[in-house]
Parts: sequence; C-alpha cells; structure tokens
Amino acid sequence: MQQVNAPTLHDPAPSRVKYKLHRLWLTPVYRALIRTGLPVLLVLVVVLSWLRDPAVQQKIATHFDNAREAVEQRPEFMVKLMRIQGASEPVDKLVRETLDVTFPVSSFRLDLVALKEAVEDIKAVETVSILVGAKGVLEIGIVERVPVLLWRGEDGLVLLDAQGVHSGYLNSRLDRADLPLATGQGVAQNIPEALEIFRKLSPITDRVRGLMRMGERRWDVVLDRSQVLMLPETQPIAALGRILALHQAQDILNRDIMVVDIRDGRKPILRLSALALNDLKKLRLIAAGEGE
Amino acid sequence: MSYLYDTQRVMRQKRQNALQRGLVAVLDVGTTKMACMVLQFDARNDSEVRLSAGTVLDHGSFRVIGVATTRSRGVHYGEITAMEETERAIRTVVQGAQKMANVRVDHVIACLAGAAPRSYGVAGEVELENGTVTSLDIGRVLAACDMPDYGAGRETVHAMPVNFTLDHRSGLTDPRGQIGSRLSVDMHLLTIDTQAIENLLKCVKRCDMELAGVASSAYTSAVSALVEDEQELGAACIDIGGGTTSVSVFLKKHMIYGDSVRMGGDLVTSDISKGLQMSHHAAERIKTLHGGVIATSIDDREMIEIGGDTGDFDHDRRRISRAELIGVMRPRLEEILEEARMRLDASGFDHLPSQRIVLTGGSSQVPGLEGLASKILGQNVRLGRPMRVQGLPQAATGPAFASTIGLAMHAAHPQDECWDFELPVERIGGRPLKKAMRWFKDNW
Repeated sequence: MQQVNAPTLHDPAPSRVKYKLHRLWLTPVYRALIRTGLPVLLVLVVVLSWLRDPAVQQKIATHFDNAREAVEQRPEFMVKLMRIQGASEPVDKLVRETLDVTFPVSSFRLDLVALKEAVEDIKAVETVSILVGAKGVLEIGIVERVPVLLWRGEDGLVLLDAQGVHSGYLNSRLDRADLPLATGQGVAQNIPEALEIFRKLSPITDRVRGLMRMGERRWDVVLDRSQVLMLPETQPIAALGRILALHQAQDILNRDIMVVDIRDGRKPILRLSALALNDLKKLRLIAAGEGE
Repeated sequence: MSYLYDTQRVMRQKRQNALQRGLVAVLDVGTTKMACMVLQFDARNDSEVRLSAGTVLDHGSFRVIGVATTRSRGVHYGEITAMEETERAIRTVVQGAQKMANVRVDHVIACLAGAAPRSYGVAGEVELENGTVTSLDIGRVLAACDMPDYGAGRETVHAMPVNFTLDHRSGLTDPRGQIGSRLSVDMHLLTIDTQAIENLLKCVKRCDMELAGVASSAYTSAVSALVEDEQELGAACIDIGGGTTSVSVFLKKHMIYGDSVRMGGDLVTSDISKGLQMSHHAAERIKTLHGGVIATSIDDREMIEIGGDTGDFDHDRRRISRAELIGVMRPRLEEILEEARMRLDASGFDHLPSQRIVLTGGSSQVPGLEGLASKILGQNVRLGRPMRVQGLPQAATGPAFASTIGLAMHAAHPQDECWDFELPVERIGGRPLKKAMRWFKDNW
C-alpha cells in the first residue's frame, strides 16, 4: 500500500548557525569555557546570592561559633589550675594577682604571650616561661631577680639586682639589713663597682653605713660616726686598699678623723674633727713649749 | 605568471601553516559524492623543497582522524553549478568529519574533477651564471619557461618541473649542486577554468574555512591508485567517477598529462532510467546491485524487480532481465572508455615504454569492466584501489575514494611545483616596496 503523503525529505545539511556553533564547540577555548566556566559561574552565582541574605550570614556565623565553642570547651583543652614554680611567697602572690585568669578556662582562650608579658612586667621577675602542661595545668616557671643592693632614692628604698634593674621597693631598711646600701645619682649603672667596694670593705664591714655616689663620677664610703672615705674616680679599689692598709697599720679610722680624702689616688689627706684639731693644736703648742 | 605565482604562493604558505599546526582537511568535491577527511600530521618542520618526487609509499607521517561523505549537491560534471547547494553539502561533510575527529579544522585542500583540465608541456632554458646549479638557477629556469597562451579564464593548478637537462645530460630530477653551463627544464602545466576555482573558493570561505590548496583529481587519484613502479615506469590512470572521467599519465613519478572526460557513472544511471523507464533512484540502485558489462546466458533468466511507487500495479511490478540491464549499461561504458582512449592517444601514451592502465573511481566497480576495458584500452589493464593510509575506516577504502586519498597523500607529500621555488626578483613585480619587504624577509 502506498503512503498517502510522501515523507518529507529532511535536509541533512546543518544550518549555517548550527555549523558555526559546532565549530565553536570544537574550539578548545570555548569548549573549556562552556564545560567548566559556565557551571562554575552558575554555582558561584547561586551560592553568592544565597550568602547575601543577612539571615543566612547570621546563621552561618552562629553555627560556626557553636562549633568553635564545642571544640574549645572539650575537657582535653580545659586549663583547670595554675602552678607557679621558682617564685618566693610575695612574688607568687603578686603573679597570681597580676594574672587575672579565672579557672577553668579553655586553652584556646589563653593568650600565653600576653600572660608572659604581664608576668615579665613584674619588677621582681627576671625571666618567665609559661606553658599549658599536661592535665590542664598552666605551668609558670619564674626566675626571680636577686637584689644585691639597696638604693636610697628620692622615692624611698629601692632594691637593685646585679644588672642594676629595680626589683622592688622597701619600706624600711631593716627589712633587708643584709643588703648594702648606696645612694646618689648613677648607682644603678655602677653596681659591679659598688659591690667590689663593699667586698673590699669587709674588714670593717660593721662600721660601714653605705656608699654615696658623688656627682655621678666617684664614690664616698660613709662609715659610722659620720666618717667619710672619699675615693677617686679611677681605681677606687686600690685607693680603698691603701686606706685600709693605713688603718691596719695605724688604726686611723678609729681615731677622731672626719674625712679620709684620697681623691687624687696617691696620698690620703686626713681631715680631723674640730675637737681633735684643737687638741692637736694644743699638743703642738705644748710641744713647742708655749702651752700652759 | 606572476599573479598566479603569488596566489599559489599564498596557498602554499597557508598549507605550510596548516601542516605546522598538524591539522588539515582534504575535500573532494565530486559529482555524486563529496568526501572530507581530517588529517593529523606528526609535528615536523619540513619546509625545504625536495626536487625528487619522494617515495609514494612514505605516507606514514599523517593519520586520518575524521572521514565523512555525503551525497553531492549542486555539482555537475565536477563543477559547481549551484553555490548554495554545494555550500550545504560542504557544510554537511565538513561537520561530519569534524565531529568524528573532534577537532576544528580551518584549512582545507580541495580537489576538482571537472573544470576542463588542459595540460601543456613547456620548456625553458637558461645559461648558468657561475657553473653550478643553485636553487636560484632552478627558479630562473622555471621562470624562463615560455608560457603557452592558455586563455584568460584559465588558471594553473599544477606546474611541475618534470625533467631537468644540464648541458647534454637529460633525465635529472635534482640538478642542484651539479656543474654545467646550460640548464633546461621540461615543465608540465595543468590549467583549469578560473571560475571553477573561484566558485570553490567562495563556497569554502562561506563555510568559515580557508582554501589552502587546489589539486586536480586527475592527478590525485593517480597518486593513490598507481603503485610506485607504475608511476616510475609510466602508466595511465583512468578515474571513472560519477560525473567525469579523469585521465592522467604518469612517467618517472611525475604527471605528464591530465585530462578529463565529461562522462561518468551518472550517465549510465540516467541511461538505465530512461531506457528501462524507472526512477533515477531505482536505476542507481539496480545499477549498483545488479550492474555488469558482460552478459552471459544466465543473465537472461535472472529477473530483477524494478519497483516503484506510482501506484500503478503493472508499472510497479515490472521485472527486467539482467541481460537487458547489461545491454543498456555496456554501450555507455564502452563510450566512456573509448573517449578515455582518445584522450590517451592524444597524449602520446602509445610511446611510453609501459602501457599499463589502471582503472579506478566509483564506476570502475562495475563487474566485468576490466574485461571490457582490456578490449578497448589494451591488454595491460588492472583495477586500482587506493593505497591504504593510516586511520582510514574500511568504508572509505574503495576505489570511489581514490582521489580523496590521493589528495591526502598529496597534502602530506606534495611534489614540487613551480611556486615552491623562489623566482628571480625581476619576475615578481617591480614595486620597490615589495622588493624591500622581500629583502627584509630574506635577511631576517
């Protein structure tokens, strides 16, 4: 049986547009653009348009915070107590006061660098190491400054360590009677020399009141009975040795002498008290046969 | 000559670029079918000119990655008659090949079967300047060839130096570096109608591609159908296509004659259609399935259903014997072969040492054609199938694809043509700017 209407003949040729599109599709650049670039762009647009909603942003932020909180609050990361090692009682107390940390706290919340700086700001502390140790203990290792000298300044008694750094204040000299005392400007810069002088003074240590820095260049040793040993700028130790040798030989420091002046380094000049000077004059007159 | 040299040179440059990129399409614009192949070349930098023809078998360096064929439209006798239709057909076939190859091709090399090819043998002679033949001397001698007056509407598609003679020594393929005083050359020139090329160029351009070369299918089908010995010793290739029958003669691996007969398998079909009163479509089918040229007694008894869709029972149920069919086909095929014979006689094929004739093309598949041809053309006839090339699907290996495959081989290993050589400056044109450009190009 014949078909009533013949099948329409289909033109096998691609249309011009179709042909060009096919060629474009075969071009690697366009192909990559369409196969990769377009889907990526689409996804980006969708995601970004979703993210632009403030409610969504809020939700994401909350979610993120919650997750963060959950991790931080896990017992493995919690710090429960603080252990301070190498600190004396008052420094320990001071450190605990300084570090205002309420335990337990998550180790993520602890700013160890800031804590370390805070502890280092305490004058009595030389170095400090802070770490979160095992079992949630905040380990603080402290090396205290060792005061070697008391310095009497305008604002009271100051403790100085070997480097000349202030490590604390004292209300009373008697709190640290074992430390030597110095005064005057520029003591902190010359601690080693001062200590050397004090060592040299050990034979008469019970008579020493302290050291005095004169004009930021030389030392005076102040003994009891207001005796003063004026030391030179250069080589004060040797000069002091000379005085002490003189004292050993002639016991001069126990005599009625106000000042031993050895500022020129070679020969000591003795200044007598007024009374002694009068007596000396009298004795000289007697010796000259002019006395009564 | 100068204009032609320039245009061919431009196409040559495009071809070089395409080969450099490793991708070129070949397009066979035939009367019944249009075939396109996408060739992929190995990366190579082969721009030097080889004077020797090269071994034909050496075509392993390219690979066919896409093939498509379609029914040709708008082409008659190998010439484009309807641009729009042809453009559609080219689009179809190029898109199919691109789809298979999955790449985009921008350069296409095309071959034309028709357009009245005419071949000329020309000769030129020069005195050598310094006793040794250089590349420039070859350019000079090619430029010195006296061009025949082939008419205004004609264009040269092939201009191949066939033979060089240095003093008294002839038969040189590459005289460069040899010593002598007079160099002469025999060049084979093949011209076709300019309009045919221009139409093709326009069609290809409208398909967003560039024409990177034109070849005559008389040449390309011989390249693929003749084996190397035949090309060397001398042979004729007769490519019986749908609309035209291309004739070419090869000697010493060069084409020395090319022509085409404006008759082909389509005429056989229309003879059947007219003589046995059936539709063109049915005639084509019967020709393909039952056709032949030598009738035997059994053919009288073998009845063939013609079929039809007119609705008239008697008409649609007609049967013819195969002998009748052969009786219609044979005279036409004889005529075609006789016409080809005449062309061969005109070319002086009789004087060649070898009288080998190779039949190829779609219509050469008619059973028994070989026997018929040997009666008309001589005893030394064989049916030729195109050479095998890498990557070609089985469906495209038949004799109908001889010229397409030959075109691919030609694209991969082109023989030197006149425009491969630098012509001496005075022939190129006297514009000083161009000269300066040339000088810059040569020196940088």
